[in-house]
Amino acid sequence: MKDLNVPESIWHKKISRRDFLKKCAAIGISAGASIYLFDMFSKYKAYALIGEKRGMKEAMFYENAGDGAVRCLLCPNKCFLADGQRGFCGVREPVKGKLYTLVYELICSVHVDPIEKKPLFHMLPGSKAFSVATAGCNSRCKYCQNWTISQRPPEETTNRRLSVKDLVGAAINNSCRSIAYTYTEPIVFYEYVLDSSILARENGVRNIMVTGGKINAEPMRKLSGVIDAANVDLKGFNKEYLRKVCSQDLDDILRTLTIMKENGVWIEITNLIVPTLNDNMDDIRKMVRWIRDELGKDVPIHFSRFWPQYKLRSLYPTPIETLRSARDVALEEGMHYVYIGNVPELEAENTVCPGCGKTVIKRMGYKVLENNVKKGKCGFCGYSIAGIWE
Amino acid sequence: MSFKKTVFISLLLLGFTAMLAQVVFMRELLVVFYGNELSIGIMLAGWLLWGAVGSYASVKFRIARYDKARIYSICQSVLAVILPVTLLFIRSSRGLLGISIGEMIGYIPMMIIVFTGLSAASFLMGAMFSLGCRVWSTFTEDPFFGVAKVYVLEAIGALAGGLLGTYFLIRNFPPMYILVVLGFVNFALSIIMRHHCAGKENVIFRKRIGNVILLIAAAAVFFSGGKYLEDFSAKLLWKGFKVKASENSVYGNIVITEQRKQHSIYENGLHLYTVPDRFSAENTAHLALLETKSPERVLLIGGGMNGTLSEILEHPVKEIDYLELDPTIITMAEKYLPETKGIGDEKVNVINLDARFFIKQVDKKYDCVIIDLGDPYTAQINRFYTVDFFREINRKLRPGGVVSFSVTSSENYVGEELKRYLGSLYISLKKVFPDVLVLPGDRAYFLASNKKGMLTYDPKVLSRRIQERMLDTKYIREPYLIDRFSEERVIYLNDLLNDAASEMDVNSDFRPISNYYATSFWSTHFDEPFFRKILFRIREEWIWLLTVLICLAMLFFSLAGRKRGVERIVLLAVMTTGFFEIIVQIAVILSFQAIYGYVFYKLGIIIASFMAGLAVGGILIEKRIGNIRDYVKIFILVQVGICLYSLVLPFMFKWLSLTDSPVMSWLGSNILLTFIPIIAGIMGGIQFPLANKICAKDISGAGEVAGVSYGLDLAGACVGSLLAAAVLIPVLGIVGTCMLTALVNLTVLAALKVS
Repeated sequence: MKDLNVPESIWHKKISRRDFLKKCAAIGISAGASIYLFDMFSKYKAYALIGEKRGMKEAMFYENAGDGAVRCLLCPNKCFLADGQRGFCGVREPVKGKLYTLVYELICSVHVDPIEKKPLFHMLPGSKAFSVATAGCNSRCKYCQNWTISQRPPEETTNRRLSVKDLVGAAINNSCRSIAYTYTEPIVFYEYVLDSSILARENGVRNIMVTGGKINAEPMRKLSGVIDAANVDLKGFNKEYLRKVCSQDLDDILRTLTIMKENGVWIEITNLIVPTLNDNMDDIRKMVRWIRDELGKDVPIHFSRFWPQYKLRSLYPTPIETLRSARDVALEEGMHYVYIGNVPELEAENTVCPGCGKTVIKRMGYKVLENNVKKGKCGFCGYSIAGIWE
Repeated sequence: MSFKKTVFISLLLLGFTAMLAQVVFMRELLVVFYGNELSIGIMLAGWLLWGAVGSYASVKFRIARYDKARIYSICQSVLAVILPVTLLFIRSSRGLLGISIGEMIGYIPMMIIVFTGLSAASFLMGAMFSLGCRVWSTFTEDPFFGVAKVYVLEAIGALAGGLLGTYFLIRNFPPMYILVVLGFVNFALSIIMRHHCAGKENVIFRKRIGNVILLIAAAAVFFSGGKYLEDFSAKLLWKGFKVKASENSVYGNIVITEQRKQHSIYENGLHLYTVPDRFSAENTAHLALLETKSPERVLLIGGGMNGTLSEILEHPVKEIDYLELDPTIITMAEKYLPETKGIGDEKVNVINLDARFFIKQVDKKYDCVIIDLGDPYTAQINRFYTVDFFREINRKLRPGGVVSFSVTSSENYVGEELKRYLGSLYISLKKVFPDVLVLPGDRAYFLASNKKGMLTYDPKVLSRRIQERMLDTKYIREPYLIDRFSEERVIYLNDLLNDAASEMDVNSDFRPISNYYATSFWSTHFDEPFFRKILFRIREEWIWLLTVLICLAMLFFSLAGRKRGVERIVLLAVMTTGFFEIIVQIAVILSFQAIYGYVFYKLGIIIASFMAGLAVGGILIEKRIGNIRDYVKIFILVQVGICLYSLVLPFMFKWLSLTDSPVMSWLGSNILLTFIPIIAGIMGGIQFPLANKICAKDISGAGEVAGVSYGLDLAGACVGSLLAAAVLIPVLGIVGTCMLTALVNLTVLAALKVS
């Protein structure tokens, strides 16, 4: 029996062997459990720790921030990353003061698509684009169509290696005239895009970027030198909407568009109209005016229809009337090429010559039914139709 | 009204209020969070958990000093206010969390809302039960009669609340009205109760006339506030939408919203479809019918109101049987969506029957069966994607007939969770149909035929059929078909599915695994790695391992500490019995839905007969309790019964599902349906008062013990409701789940025997 009158200090308490074993077991079990729980609750693992070397290559655009930490300068997020910490995009991580991309030549999705599907209507109509994507994205759009890859780090997707050389080879073998960096955000696999584009160009294959445009000026300038065309998702013109629904800042996207324009990248703009969230016609008018004044009337605008997707799954599809109004606004403001894809009720898939008003390219879905653009000019009146035609 | 009578009615009302409030809150929560089995489990668990905490906590408070009835009546008046406030909170929760319209909510915010929102109401009612036991035991010589009586009264009240609520009140009155009236009745009764307590010290309610005035004033406040609150909170709930109509059916809440020249129908807050939406309607109708060589008789299950019917009518069909699970959708569409075409056509038969029920009875054969019910997020929808249902369809399909359905997929990339989900559906179809075809896209279309070589991947063949049948399609034209049947994407998806199918189990009625995979896929929508990972990693063996560990821990807990011996184990048994009761109810519901088709009114009977069983058990023991010498012996006997019952139950279901004789099927659906839950209820009803009798040797006061044991009973039910439908039944199957229940209860039995 224990003498209850003598309080023992915990530190000097004698413990029996049994108690000792008990405590050891308890500590062991709780340590194991906490490691397991930590793993369950954490989104990212330190890549270097799990020994995954595939897809790792030193990243471009970062600066040392001391103590093994770095600041990534690729996109406006400018993540400050301690050793082993993952960037917002889920695919960039520093190891001992050196920033690595984790998805170099490590793709999770590859398809051969009609170029109209990107959508690019004023570039090599009817041709095929070899489309690739890696995991990760630096935006968080709540309606993302490709959220199963864009919102996941590479360790949670099924990947395969496709070297720069093989990518270009595969594009040529599949008789694709272009490579499209698409589905997720090509900005986050910048190094792969840059290297592939250089090689593709040397082999006569064009490069297409389908992007949200959230990138810093310097990397964008560098990339503009090798990219031929871009479809930029200008997701809206309302700052609050962009911040809340897409986690983007409008100024960043507009800067990207200006840089692309300055460097001669062919731009087409996609604007997804989400009912009640960004279907305000005043904002759309402001956006169209900005495009007209800064980029020119010849930049095609694609208004696209929202379908219940990802987190916004319980919102209804955009009313066709809303799309019609948006198109009317853009035409009113003097834009030459305003499209609404995949809504045959609106018959807004064809390219109409601003010169003579005749239909020069007739489309249905992603298929080109008729093409009367001859050497970049309208086959009827000779008006120069902007785009990449050869 | 005498004091005793007041308490009597008050306790009946408590059961009634608890059940009715549960029905209302669960439905409203579903509208906010949308339903899958896990989220429903979380909601129910939150509700039961707070009841358990309330019941347990009220024991810990030293209320003995105060007048118990007075505290009870104060709780009751507070409850009157809490009920509508809770609904207000639920409805405004999306706004409070800053969630944009149409956005799905992850499990973590859901848990925050559920566990905070339901806390007050459920806690109060849990506390009121245990207080009620203490009040009532002052009326009886042996306090245990009191506990048994309260248990019975509560069960009867709950029975009435559940039936009246689901089948009458919900359908005819807005939820806020129901709660306001319920609150008022509670308030009125609490005033009367306080009037009785007022004998000694209460000054305010001394005069009867004062009470009457107070009641009238309260009525005015409640009822005038009711309408305002209903409108106000409904606006909060549907913020950003233009709601044209909202109705409640036995199945759920249906809302029609209006936009520019289009309407959208929401069921339980989830977007069902939009009218007009030619794209979806054409896909649903034409992909299936174009694959069918000569579609004459078509069976359409669900989704007819979005224009699919009129698209089907474009084909040379002779007859369409259209089944809608919830007739309210049809009546609402007819009323508010006059542009809906097809319903009035003479070729269309609208049949208000459950499709599982219908397909067993019908003696027609079809050329094409189109299932348009969306993803199997709930067990109810999952019934239409099981190998058993496919077999039933196959029997009603002409040679060369085609079956089709579509579920959420991803066009450019299929991840592991999605692969399991699609793979399990694919293998289930393959089990029955020799020819299966899957079309990739953001919706994957599954097509199957009972004759090999019927289905074609060749868009040219299909577009020739479009011309032959002179279809006036806007979307489904050759260019679209070429994209949809893109060889490269078809191969990508089919390779994945074949790969997945090799290691996948079929989705069956008794093991609805696709429902689980769908829930797992759902969890990938959110940035919640914990839920995503745990749902992805759960394996059958793991659950068994964990169960064995828990059982060992229970044995250790009950046998190692010698201090309280039997009492502790008995309390443990109350908890495992609570778990058992929930499992039996869910298993019976799922089995009967599968075997006999979904007859909603009979679902009510299942719950009702269970509640009745509780009452019967309670009454039985109340009458006999004086004559029993060895309570523990009887308790052990019942525990043996519970174990045997969990072991026998699944085989009874299996056997019922296999027999074809009409006599057996009549017996099954009408007699056994009510019989099975009654027995489970009776066993629970006997055990609960007995447990109190046994334990009270140690803890002073019957009411206090009742508080603890009731809390544990609810806690067991809470665990059961969280896990049963969402995880255990899909992963282990009904048989496995019943075995697991048996194992848990056997452990307790062993512990009882040993001590």
